[in-house]
Amino acid sequence: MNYFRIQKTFLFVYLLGSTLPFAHPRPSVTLNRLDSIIKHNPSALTVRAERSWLELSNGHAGPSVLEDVVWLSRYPEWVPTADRLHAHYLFLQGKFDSARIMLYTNIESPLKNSPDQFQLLAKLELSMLDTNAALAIWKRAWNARHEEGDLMEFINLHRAHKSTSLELLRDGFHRHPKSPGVCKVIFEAAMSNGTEEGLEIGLIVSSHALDTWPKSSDWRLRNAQALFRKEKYFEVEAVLLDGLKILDESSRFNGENSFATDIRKDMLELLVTNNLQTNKQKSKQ
Amino acid sequence: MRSVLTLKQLVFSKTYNHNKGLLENRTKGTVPFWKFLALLTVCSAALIEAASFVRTPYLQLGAPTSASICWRVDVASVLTVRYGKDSSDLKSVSTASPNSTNACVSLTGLSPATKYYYQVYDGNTRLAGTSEQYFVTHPPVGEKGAYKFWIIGDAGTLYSEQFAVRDAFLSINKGPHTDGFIMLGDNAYENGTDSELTKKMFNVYPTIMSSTFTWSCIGNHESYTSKGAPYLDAFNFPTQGQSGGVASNTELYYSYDYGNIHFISLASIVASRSATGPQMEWLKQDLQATRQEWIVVYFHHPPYTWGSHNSDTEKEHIEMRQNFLPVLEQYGVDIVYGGHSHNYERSFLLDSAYGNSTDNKNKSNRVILDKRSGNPATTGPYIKTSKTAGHKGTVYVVDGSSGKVSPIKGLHPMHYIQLRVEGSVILTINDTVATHKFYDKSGKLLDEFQLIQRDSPTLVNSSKKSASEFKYSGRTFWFSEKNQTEFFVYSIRGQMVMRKVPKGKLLIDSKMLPSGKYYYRFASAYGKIDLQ
Repeated sequence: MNYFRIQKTFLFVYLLGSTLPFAHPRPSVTLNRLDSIIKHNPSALTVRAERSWLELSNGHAGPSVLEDVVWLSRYPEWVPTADRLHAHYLFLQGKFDSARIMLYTNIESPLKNSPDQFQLLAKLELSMLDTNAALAIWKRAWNARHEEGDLMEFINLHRAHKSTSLELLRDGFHRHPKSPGVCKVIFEAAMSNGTEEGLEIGLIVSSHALDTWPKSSDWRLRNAQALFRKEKYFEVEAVLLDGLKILDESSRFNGENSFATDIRKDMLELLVTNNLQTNKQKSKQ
Repeated sequence: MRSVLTLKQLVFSKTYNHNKGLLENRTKGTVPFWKFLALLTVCSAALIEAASFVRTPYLQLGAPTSASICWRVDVASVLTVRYGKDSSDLKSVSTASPNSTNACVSLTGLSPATKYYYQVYDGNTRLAGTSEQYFVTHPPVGEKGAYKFWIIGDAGTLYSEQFAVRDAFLSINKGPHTDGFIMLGDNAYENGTDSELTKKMFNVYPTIMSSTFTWSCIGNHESYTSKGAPYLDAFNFPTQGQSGGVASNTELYYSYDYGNIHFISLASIVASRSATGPQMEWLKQDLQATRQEWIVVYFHHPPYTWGSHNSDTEKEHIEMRQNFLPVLEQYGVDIVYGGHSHNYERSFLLDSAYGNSTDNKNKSNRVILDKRSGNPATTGPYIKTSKTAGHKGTVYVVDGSSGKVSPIKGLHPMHYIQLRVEGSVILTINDTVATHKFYDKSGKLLDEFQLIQRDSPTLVNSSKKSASEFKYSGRTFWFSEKNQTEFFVYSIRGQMVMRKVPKGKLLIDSKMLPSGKYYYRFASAYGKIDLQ
């Protein structure tokens, strides 16, 4: 019972932190310029849309947004934009029930089902602590467009929810084999899955990544981590020594605060740990 | 409207409807014999009539051994490009396909750093290009030279200022050709539509774009039309690493090499600005892969501006500064260009200024590495103490006044200078010296800084000989190997603290390395050592 409560509290805090809109200061210089244009030409619809997106993207749902939504709604070609803006407005106003109804309607319409609507709806479901509903939204977004950003969000949400769909990982890798971001989240999800099948996916993805980005040192480390888990100790050593050579050959990677410092530390630690295993294997032979 | 319409009007003068622009009834009425003859004659002429350009030829996808020449014509045509090293003898021919109004011809098998003359033909009719129409292929990757780039931002207004800035550049440069033409977004106001791009970009810079490879990043105004679709259609950027760099698989962000310079174009709008998004993960791979001595980055929303936009309050600026700058600086990026604010601003030599202006001002002693102007003629240039290592300083430029100026907020604490004048930047990089100059629309030099890299990158002599055993006792190491294999020592945190080519015996005294645990590597030997 206690364990369950702790889990639920953790999930709540995690989701709260990752989903609640963060309000940036109002970009007044630009908004003043846009306000001025609209004042002189109230039917400047492009400018109205720009003003509202700017307000909303900075976490503000002021009266000007509602005014723009009303204006845009008067023109059939601008109705989809107005409805999308309206959904954001309702969400930021905290009117979650109305926002949710509007968002579910919007994602059904080919004219309104833009990525921002899926993202907002997933956020909304998360803020209601309904992770399953959020996962279902990401699944729809992924199935609709197969976009790499959606996939990364989808997989990361699975991980936060301590679930992994290996089928999704395979499908994502199949569709975006050249995306460093997709490969990274798939590798991390696969390796944390804890199954032999997950480990196999991690090994395939990291080996493929080494072929695709041959100068990458972080992928050498990931590949070595997968090989170590597969107990291929002699291969680990070769991959890591190669990785160290790549890092050491350029002064770009040798500064005090270089990104390479962390990678090199992990490589050296793994190398020394791996050496113990190599020696054990040698002694067995 | 081309002359084909005129022909129709001539022949079917009674039935042509000007308002509808259509032929109402071709079959009605009889055509007199003289008209039939006239029709035959004119149609024959029409058949050999050449297409005409809507967008004159422009250069894309520059690389050491390849180039693309693109254009748009008014009617679907199959045009050919004749090209060669000798302007009087254009031997090579490449044909555009498919039969369309928009086309790009890819020329391959070229020689690096070589001037090629070219002309575009419709059949035997030359459409564009005089004997002086040429491009120069990129130099081999890593090759040093004196390279020049013209950089403009927020130019596409079609105001007289846009033309004045262009003409000032042509006058200073004594012609249209440079080694690269870089646009920092908002290339065509208001919405970056197809016709706006034609009028405000292609028609304004035709001679420059036909003689210099053009590169760009997306601006907010391009994004207003179908998330930049007309902009992305107009350009061909290297999505597969064709011009150097790691394949990004998108034209929104990409990279390319020019000699010893690596250029990175980022998208501060439309693409994700997240610290864990697809663009960031690609950027990290790209920065890991490059071995170039110079890295120049550009994106539309600059990290520091108090011009017509405010980087303290606007999300795009804040996210680019907080998420991307730590990565760019970690990998030793030298100069970062942006636009968006319609003015000129230029920073000091900075590092790790990721907060808002107040935070950064409070930390100015730490984040401003050099408080001088960087002008070689007055206070002296900025010096980077390492050619490629991270966190040795980056200069940030707002170059957004190439089409107009807007009201400004004031001098940002990270900036050395702010100007509310129309102008553009010429960047030259000559071996270890980068010189940046901002000229106004009359051609007057208003700001200049130089960035000098001091050391040379040290490359390991990667001997393939197998490492022999080595022994150590206390702080003395004995090596039996007599080749050039290097001996590396790393701190326990992973930082390389020593590299030497040992000759028999090596004593590491406590001045060189204090007591503690270290990692070492010598060819294929490695391990931990405890220096007392």
